Amino acid sequence: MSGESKKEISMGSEDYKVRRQDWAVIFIGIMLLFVAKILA
Amino acid sequence: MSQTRVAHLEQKPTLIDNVVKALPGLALVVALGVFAFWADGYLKTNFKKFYEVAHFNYVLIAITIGMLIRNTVGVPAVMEPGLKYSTVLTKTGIVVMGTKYTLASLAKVGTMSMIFIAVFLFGTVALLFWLRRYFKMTDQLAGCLAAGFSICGVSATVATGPAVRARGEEMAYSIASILIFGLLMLFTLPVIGHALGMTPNQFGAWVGVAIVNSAQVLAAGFAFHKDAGLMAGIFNMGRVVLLPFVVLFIVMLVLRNDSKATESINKTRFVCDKFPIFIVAFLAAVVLNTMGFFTKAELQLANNIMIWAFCLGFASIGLTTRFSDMKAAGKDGIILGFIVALIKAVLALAVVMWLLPL
Repeated sequence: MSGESKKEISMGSEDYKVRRQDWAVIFIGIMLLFVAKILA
Repeated sequence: MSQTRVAHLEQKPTLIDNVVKALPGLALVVALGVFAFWADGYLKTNFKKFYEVAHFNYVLIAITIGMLIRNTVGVPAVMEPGLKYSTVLTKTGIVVMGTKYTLASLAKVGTMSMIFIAVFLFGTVALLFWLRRYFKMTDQLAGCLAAGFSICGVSATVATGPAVRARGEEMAYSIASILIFGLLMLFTLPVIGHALGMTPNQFGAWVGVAIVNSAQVLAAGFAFHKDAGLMAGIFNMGRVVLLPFVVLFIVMLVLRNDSKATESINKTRFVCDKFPIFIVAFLAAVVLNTMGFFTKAELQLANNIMIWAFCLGFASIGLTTRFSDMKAAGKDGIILGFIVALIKAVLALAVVMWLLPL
């Protein structure tokens, strides 16, 4: 029971959305750095 | 049952669907970005005096024209899906911005600056919670406002809302109040900065604390001077790093009367879950640059990519800013938020002008 309430308070669905967005940003950002490395 | 499942599967759009749907809106964003750069060059060449006095560069042009389009002729519904990527664009710009720094340049900003940022973040939260007794609002709304007006307009509100059990409309209200404040500051602070003769570093540090929405912080910084934009970026990052700790502090304040709830929070897990991991990619770019991974030409191209990511992000912000949303946000939260944010801005100005060695 206490485990459930811990989970509920620490991470909501919006957090997962932000986390997914951050992973996308990391991927795009690193890709763009390599684009700069290759094209320059 | 199987029909429901089929219907559910049919409704769920794939990544390709999302990309195709986003294309018309993204085309508008790119067109506005191209226009903003062209207008920047045109004003610089043909209206040099106005350009130097008003500092109306591509950043302010993209946001202003975007807002004008949204609030006059409007944006066709088919373009809406492509306008919601301002956060992704600005965060991507921040990652690439890592190539502008070395570990030594970050260290130069120093411990004093991090203490300055932390004091202002926690101070803003404490001040807002102390002043809220004079305003009509729930603890949950106060929590969202405290998060938004201290750390980062949208991300912090989104991180705090579910944790303090705020309703969707309380989060939306908080975000609207913060964006209105940021918008006003975005146009006002560069004028004040020039009037006070601030250096780019001082101005960057100031807006990095006084304005809370990351895109608006960067927009105000770059509207003032390129170096101010870079300094604002560092201060913005310092603020964002502290996000999980400030959010935890707010949660404890909101739930302080509910001892069962506060005891049940796993604090380490909470901080890990709320940590903005895109910062890791920014730091990776800084480390690569420190190691000499990029040549001068590559850094120049990375700089152009960063400017474009920011410009398109700013254009998206302009195109999604509705004046009617501002009207609908109501009074109390905005008044309280503005009072707290203005006190913070004035105190931060005093600190960067006279105390912080920048």
